Amino acid sequence: MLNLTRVKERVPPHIHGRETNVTIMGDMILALLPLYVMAYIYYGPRSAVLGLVGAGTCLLADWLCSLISGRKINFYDLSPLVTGLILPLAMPATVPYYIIITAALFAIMIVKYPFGGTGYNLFNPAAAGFAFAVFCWPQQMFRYPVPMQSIPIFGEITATIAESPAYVMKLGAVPDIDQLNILLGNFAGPMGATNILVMAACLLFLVIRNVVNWRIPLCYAAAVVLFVLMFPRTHLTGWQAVLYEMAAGSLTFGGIFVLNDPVTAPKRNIPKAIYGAVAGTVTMIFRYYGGFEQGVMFAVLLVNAFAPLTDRVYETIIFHVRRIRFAAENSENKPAKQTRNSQA
Amino acid sequence: MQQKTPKISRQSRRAIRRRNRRNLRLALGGLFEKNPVLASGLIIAPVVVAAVSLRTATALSIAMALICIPAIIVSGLISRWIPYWVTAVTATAVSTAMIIPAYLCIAPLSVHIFDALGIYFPIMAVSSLPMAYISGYRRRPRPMRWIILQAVCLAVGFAAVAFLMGGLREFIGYGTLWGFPLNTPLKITGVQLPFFGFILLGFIAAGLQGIKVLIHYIDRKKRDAQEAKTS
Repeated sequence: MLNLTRVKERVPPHIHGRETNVTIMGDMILALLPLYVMAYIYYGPRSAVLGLVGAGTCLLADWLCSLISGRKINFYDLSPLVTGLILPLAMPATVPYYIIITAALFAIMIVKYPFGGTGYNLFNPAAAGFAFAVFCWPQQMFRYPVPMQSIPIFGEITATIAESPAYVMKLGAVPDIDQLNILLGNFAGPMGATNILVMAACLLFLVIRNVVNWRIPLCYAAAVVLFVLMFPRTHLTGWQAVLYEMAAGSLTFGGIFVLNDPVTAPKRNIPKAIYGAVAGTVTMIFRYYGGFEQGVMFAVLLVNAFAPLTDRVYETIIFHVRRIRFAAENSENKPAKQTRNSQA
Repeated sequence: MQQKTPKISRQSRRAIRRRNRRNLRLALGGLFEKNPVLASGLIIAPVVVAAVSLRTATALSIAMALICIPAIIVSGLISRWIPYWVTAVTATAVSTAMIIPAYLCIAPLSVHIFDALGIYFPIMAVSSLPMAYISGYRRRPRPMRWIILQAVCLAVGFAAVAFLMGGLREFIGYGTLWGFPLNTPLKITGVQLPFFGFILLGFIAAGLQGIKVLIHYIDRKKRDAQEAKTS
């Protein structure tokens, strides 16, 4: 006789993947840490403090919003930490603390929680927070310090400011940076978005850990490369132009850490590939014709809006294709109708 | 011989009182329950784009009052006798004609007021607000006093939202109120852009829904307490 008192009732889903919020976000945080190490080397301890301020603000805002919406605080939810760590890396190291705090509060309290909180947001909070900061303080957001100088943690910033390669290329000129420094990230730019070699290693780690689906960054990079090869905007051509475009601004950083958000990206494989390709194309269009020197965050917000639609359209197409295939298979397997003559 | 005035029965008096209470509730709905911007979603564009300071909010409120109230009153008057499309055209003609007096009232506010309002001042003449009420008046004609009260309440409801939006955006964006500086430590100029107007309007609408839920909850608690007492 079955002892029903020992049977436990569980809420579905009853089949889980290996990945959880803790493992996915934990791996993201691990992948972001090397960028903070590089930022510390280039800009001093201020970069670490900016990261702490961003992460702390996002975490506190997340807890506050949880309480306001009547939920228990989930201390295992690391997604606000990821948002808080991404925001300062896309900004200059001289950015004032109030900009980080405002962008973090906007990301969590306006972009994330009104849409349902963790797992339900329609737009990437970090991209939205960055875009809001750009609209409010465009001068401070695109003023980059020259690396290898220690920037004071508090007080007046007295760093040497230089134009970023993205701005120079927007004017049609070629940045005066040699290729070795481009690869090492030793030029003025967003705090954590200049080191393309480190970012490539982080991407490899994330793909191996199954946090990032390889289709999105591959199609994104392919779209960017094709666009640059077909329509170079400086006198550089070929792979030199590609290298400068990929290294300038937050193009690569956005394509790895912002575009691959598991909540806002499509869930199916082919829509992921389309999503990545469209994001790459839109990013380059914003770069070439937009008002700001960088366009990746705005492109991410735009493709986030269409991500659920791509999933829905793909599933509708697959449903009809399967129906047609099933009908065709059924008609092949059906035995031939017996007529009166054949029976006789 | 004097004619005796017919006695109104108690039932009829009760029905008249109930009808008046319903009409009053419907008329006052424009202030809160059926606020034209927050609840009905009408005339959102001027509030979101143009209500960026107290001055522009005042201008929009004056424009709304002078342009839309006569149109609503006229449509309430004529809708039961003439076809819908004629009522709609007449209401639009009346609101377009009222642009001139509205212009004269708004001009003294500031030299640059019409630059700030842009297209959203003349667009009030073709707003969806009078159209939304024409079919209602046609289906169920109401006494003139209730139509006037409803039109005034709609204008006051719109003004309340416009002032709230304009005041908040001017305070947060420029650190001023009606042009007077307030020495705020932080100015976030991005709130002047339309995208933040939509976000702020959404939060205010959510706040209104929250207040309605709270009022409904308090009413229900009172009713339950009364029922418990009587039983």
